[in-house]
Amino acid sequence: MSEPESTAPEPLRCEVGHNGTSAWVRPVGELDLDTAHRVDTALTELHEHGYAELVLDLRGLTFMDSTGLRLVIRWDTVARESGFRFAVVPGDEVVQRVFRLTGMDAHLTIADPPAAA
Amino acid sequence: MEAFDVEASLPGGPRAAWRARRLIEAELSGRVPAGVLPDVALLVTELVANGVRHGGADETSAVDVRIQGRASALHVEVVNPAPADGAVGPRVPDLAGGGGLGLHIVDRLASRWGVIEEPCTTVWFELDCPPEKLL
Repeated sequence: MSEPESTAPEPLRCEVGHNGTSAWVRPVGELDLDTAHRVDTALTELHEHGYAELVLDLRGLTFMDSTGLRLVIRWDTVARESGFRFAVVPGDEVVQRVFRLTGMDAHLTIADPPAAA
Repeated sequence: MEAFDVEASLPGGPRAAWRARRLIEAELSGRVPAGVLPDVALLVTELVANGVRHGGADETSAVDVRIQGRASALHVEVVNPAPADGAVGPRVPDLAGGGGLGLHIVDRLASRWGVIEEPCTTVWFELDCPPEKLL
């Protein structure tokens, strides 16, 4: 262990912004079982504001596992069923390979990076 | 490869996989090719997360991780504190609901993997590392 957990940086923080009717969440750090609820909470709050489009910007992630993938799939499914737009800004290779390994890369809506991010 | 054998008992709970990734970085950096580390981190995360969700690895217990460098492969075992609450095996991934994805990833990434049911559920995997690529 390189450093004690008490002084280690938080595993994940969420940056949030909006641009007209589009809002974005940018998680920074490691997305897994421990941290996925933070991204879910951020997306839920924006959804409750009624934005027509939610963008999940994955470029700030240094790790993502199947819990993160499950979160993306769930929001994609809810958006298709509820009639709002949900799109993903692809992350680094360490993130994108999780989508590729499960065949999900072809299924998701891809967004350009948010202008304000 | 120079043989090595690392064993660690990590506190359970939601942050167990984060701890396991720090263990991998600390123990495997310089021992295996840098390109292999992200695969090991993802594989171990999936197995530890399964132990937390289904194998009783909560804050009051521990999950044991054993990492062995063998002749031409990395061998890793994740030992849950309790038997799993159901059969451990890959399901057809549910791309709408998100079930079965973790072991699907393990199945795609690992060279081999398997489950020892008793006394506590142990899931192991091996990742082939050609000898010329090992440090």
